[in-house]
Amino acid sequence: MTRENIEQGWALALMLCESRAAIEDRVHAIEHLSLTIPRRTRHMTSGLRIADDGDAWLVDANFAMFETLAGAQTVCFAAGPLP
Amino acid sequence: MNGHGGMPDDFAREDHNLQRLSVTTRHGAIFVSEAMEMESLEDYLGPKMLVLFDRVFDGRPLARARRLSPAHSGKLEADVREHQGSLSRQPAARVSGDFRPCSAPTTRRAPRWIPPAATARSSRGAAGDRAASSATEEMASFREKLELHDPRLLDIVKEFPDSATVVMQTIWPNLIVQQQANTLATRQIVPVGPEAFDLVWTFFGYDDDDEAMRARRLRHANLMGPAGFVSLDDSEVMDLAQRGIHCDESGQALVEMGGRGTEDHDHIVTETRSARSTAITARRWAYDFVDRLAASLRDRGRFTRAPPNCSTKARSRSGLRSSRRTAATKR
Repeated sequence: MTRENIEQGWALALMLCESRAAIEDRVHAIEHLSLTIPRRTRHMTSGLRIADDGDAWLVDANFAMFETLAGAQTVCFAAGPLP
Repeated sequence: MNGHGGMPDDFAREDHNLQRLSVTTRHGAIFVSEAMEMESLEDYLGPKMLVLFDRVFDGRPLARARRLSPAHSGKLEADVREHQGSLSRQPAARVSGDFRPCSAPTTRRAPRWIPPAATARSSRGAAGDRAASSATEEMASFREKLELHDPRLLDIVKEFPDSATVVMQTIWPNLIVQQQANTLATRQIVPVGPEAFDLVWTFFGYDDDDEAMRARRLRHANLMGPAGFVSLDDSEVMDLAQRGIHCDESGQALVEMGGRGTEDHDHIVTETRSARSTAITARRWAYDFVDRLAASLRDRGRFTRAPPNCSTKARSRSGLRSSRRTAATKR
């Protein structure tokens, strides 16, 4: 979810996967169906936080994702969570 | 201060008010224009478009998402109006059968300077209606047997009197009202320069939605937005098209999709074929890009095999990456 939506109390997420099957659909779409420009990506995580939530775990982490299109400068594609 | 400085004595604040704008509301939607003298919203839309606007616009805001697209804003407006995106690349539409090339878009000729409003509609096929047809046989990406692991993404509940499951209504070049499955939203295009624009989705639902419908709308929002199954490829293709146009700055690029008229049609076969126009533009850039990349890497002695993320086939033909081919190369 974006910071804007969280602060506004809006439930919309950029991606909502409510099951493992939904995640598999996402992966399949990205790997087999999407048309993308060739690029390199680097995904960094830090500050991993794991909390007990009964029969599940709540996992949170800081992240930054960079992408580099061939012939172009590296840009920060996404970062979070914001402080 | 103390009688010194400040505005001239003859300065009249009332002569320097904020710019007055023309405001029109309909069913809670607020339209603002700098043009003080213009036809009414109802006259502008006309009876056909008005029905489609009233069809969905009776809701409350749910959430908003935003993305930046590296292309001239006109590309998205044309992309939606021609409905080419669904045919050429949208995975969810191909999987679900939501899109049928023989469904009916409606367009309306615009008066004078006002950009044309237009609508593209399609309906979900019946269970056996997803088979390849003469209209889909030339779609390289059409796959009859593709199924979702989690079918709830397309668990569509009929909520409008008609049978349309996709209605994209371009009100102005910068405003699109969309219904895809049970997700409802407006798309607002905000140009941020000649080569980029912000695309702001405002998703909404209705006050009388129950929890199941609210959850369904949020789930169906996976189709749209910055990471939407349907819209994910859009910015990539528009980026490629923009680069394709840029590779020959002394020339011109012209695409006359569907001819020169704006009359109604009961099919979108033309758009099926015109989808290739975008692909051709993109491919043009990709040819140039991959050739230059490969030459550069060879010159530096840093690459003796295929460039990263490009299979041999993709490199030699178009430079556009299919992840399946990439995965096969890795294996």
